[in-house]
Amino acid sequence: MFKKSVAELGRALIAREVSAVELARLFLDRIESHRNLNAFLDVRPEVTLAQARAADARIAKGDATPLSGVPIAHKDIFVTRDFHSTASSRMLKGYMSPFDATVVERLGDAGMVSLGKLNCDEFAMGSSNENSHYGNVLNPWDKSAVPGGSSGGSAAAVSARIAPAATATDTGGSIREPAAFSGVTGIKPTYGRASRWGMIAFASSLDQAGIMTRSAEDAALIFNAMLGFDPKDSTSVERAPEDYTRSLNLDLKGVRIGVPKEFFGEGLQPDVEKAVREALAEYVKLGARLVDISLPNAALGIPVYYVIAPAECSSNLSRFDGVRYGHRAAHYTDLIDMMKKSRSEGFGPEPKRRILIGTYVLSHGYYDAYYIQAQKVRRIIADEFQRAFRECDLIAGPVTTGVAFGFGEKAADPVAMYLSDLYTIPGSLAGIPGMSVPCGFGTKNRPVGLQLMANYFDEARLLGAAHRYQQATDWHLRMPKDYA
Amino acid sequence: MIPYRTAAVNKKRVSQEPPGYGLAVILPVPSLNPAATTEASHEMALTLSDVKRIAHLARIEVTDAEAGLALGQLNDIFKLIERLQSVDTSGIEPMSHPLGGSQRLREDLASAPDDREANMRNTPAQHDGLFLVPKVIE
Repeated sequence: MFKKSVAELGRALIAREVSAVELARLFLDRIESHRNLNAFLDVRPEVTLAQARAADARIAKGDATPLSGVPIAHKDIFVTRDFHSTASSRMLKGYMSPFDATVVERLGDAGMVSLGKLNCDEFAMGSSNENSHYGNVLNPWDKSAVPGGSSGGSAAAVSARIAPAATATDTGGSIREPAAFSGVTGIKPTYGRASRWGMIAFASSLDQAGIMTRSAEDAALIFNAMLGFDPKDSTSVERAPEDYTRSLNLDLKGVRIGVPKEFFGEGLQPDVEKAVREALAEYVKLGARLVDISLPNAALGIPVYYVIAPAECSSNLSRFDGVRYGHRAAHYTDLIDMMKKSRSEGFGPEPKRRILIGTYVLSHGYYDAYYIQAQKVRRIIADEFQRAFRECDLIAGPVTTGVAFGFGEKAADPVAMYLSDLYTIPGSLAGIPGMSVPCGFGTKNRPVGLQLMANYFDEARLLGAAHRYQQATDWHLRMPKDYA
Repeated sequence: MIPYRTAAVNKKRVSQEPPGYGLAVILPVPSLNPAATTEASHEMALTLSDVKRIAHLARIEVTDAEAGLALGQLNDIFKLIERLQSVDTSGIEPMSHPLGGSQRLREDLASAPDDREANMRNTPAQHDGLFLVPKVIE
C-alpha cells in the first residue's frame, strides 16, 4: 500500500479498500522504522490520527475529495498550529504557530492528513540540507550522498516512500535540485500561484511553494487543492481556479521543446548529460520537436541571485530580534547586546553569511551598484525566457550539473555550493514554473533529474508533458532498495 | 560564535576547484580592460573592519576570529557578484516582482480579532501581556 500513488490511495479510500486511519498508521510506522534518514523534525501520532479519523468520517458521509485521507508531510518552512515550526533553525526551536500556513490549511481542507514536519536547510538556505540545525538528511539512494536542498527532508521522505507526497518551497532551486538528487518528481508553480502566507520568508520576490510526489499526475491532483488566490498574500495572483489535471493526456505531437545550449556547456557532467539527452530522445519518439534555443545570460543568474536573495533575506530575518518570539540569549547587558547575542546564537552559519551579504549590498552607497543592478540583470534574464518561448512551448535540460554529491564535499566552500543551482536559478528569477522529473541514474547509481520549464501559468501543459514521459518510462517508479 | 565550517579560507581557490565547478568555466569572463578589472576588484575587497561594521549593522555579534573567517568567504562571494558590474543595463527597468504590477490593497475593514494568548505563547519574556526587554530609557 505504501508504494501506491496519491491518485491510487485516494481511489482506494473512496472505494473503502483502506481507511485513512490505517493509512496514517502505516506511514507513521514507516517514519518510525526509517528514523535514521532524519527526514522528519516533528511527528505527533495523536494529531495525525485525529485528522485521519475526521477524513474517514468525511468519506463515510460521501463528502470526500480525491485527496481525502491521503497522508502528506510539510516542509518545516510552513507554519502549523499542531506541530513545531522551526525552519530547521535553533532560532525557532519549539515555536508553535498560532495559525496554519494557507497551503497547509488548503490541503487540510481537502482532507489530506498531515504526517508531520520535514527537515530542510535552515530558513531554506542551502543546496544539500547540510545547513539544518537538526542534522543532515540522508539520501535514500545512497546514504553517503546528500538528498539535495533546501527541501531535503521532503525529497528523502517521498523517495523512501515514508510519505506519499510532501510540500516544499523553491527560492533558487530548492524543490527541483533535491527532487533530482533523490529521484522524485518536484514542481514549483508560477510565482504568485501558491500563497506565501505562513511560509517563513527567505527571499520574498522568489519564494514559491510547490510539491514533491512520485508522479506528475499526483502533483496535478494536489495543485488543484493547493494553489489559488489568497488575499492574505500581497503577491498572490488573482486568477480563476484551474484544473491542473486537464492536460495530463497532452498530445505531444508538434509540441516544441526548447533546448538551451547554455545548459549543456562545460561543467555538465557526462552521466547527467547522457540521461538528459536520452529523455529528450524519448520526447522525440513521443512526437515532440526539439528546438535549439539560447538563454545567453542564464549563467549570470547566480550572481544576480546572490545579491537579491541575501538582500531580501537580511530584511526578512531582521524580525528575529529575541523580543517577541524565537531564541533569546541568556546573558546580555542591554537591548542591542540582547539582540546581537540572540541572533548570533540563534542563526547558523549560512543565514548569518547571507544576512551579512544582504546588509552590505543594501547599505548606503552600494544599493544602486549591487541591488538595483542585480534587479536589472534579473529582467534581462526574464526577457530572454520570453524571447525563447516565442520559439518553443516548453524548455528542457538538466536540473543539476552532476548527481548528488557526498556529505562535506562542498560544505566548506559556499561558492561551490552556490553553483549547484546554476540551471535552476534562471527560472526562479523569471518566476516561471519548473519541475524535475526522474530520468535515469548516473555515477554511483545516483538519480538524475530532467528539468522541464514552461511559460507563466502554463503548469497544466508542463504537468501533461511530464505525465506523458512517465507513461512511457518507469524511472519515477524505481525505488531505493532499502525502502522498497 | 559564527561556526564557519572551515578555517582554510581558500587562498588558492581557483586551482583547487573540482573540474566542472569553476567560475571561469561557468561564467563568461566580462571583457573589461585589465586596468578596470584591477580597480574593480580593489574596490570590492572587504576588510576586517568592513565585516565588523556590517555585522554590527545586522546586529550579529562576531569575534575577531569569526570576522576573519567570514572575510575570506565573503570576498569569494563578492568576486562572483562582481561579474554583474560589467553588464550593460542602460535603459532597463529593475525587476522587483516576476509579474510586475503594483501591490494589491485590501478594503480597510476589521477582520478576525487577534488571539493575544496564542500570539504571546512563544514570547521569551512577558508580563501582563506585554513584551519585556532590557531597560531602554533611564
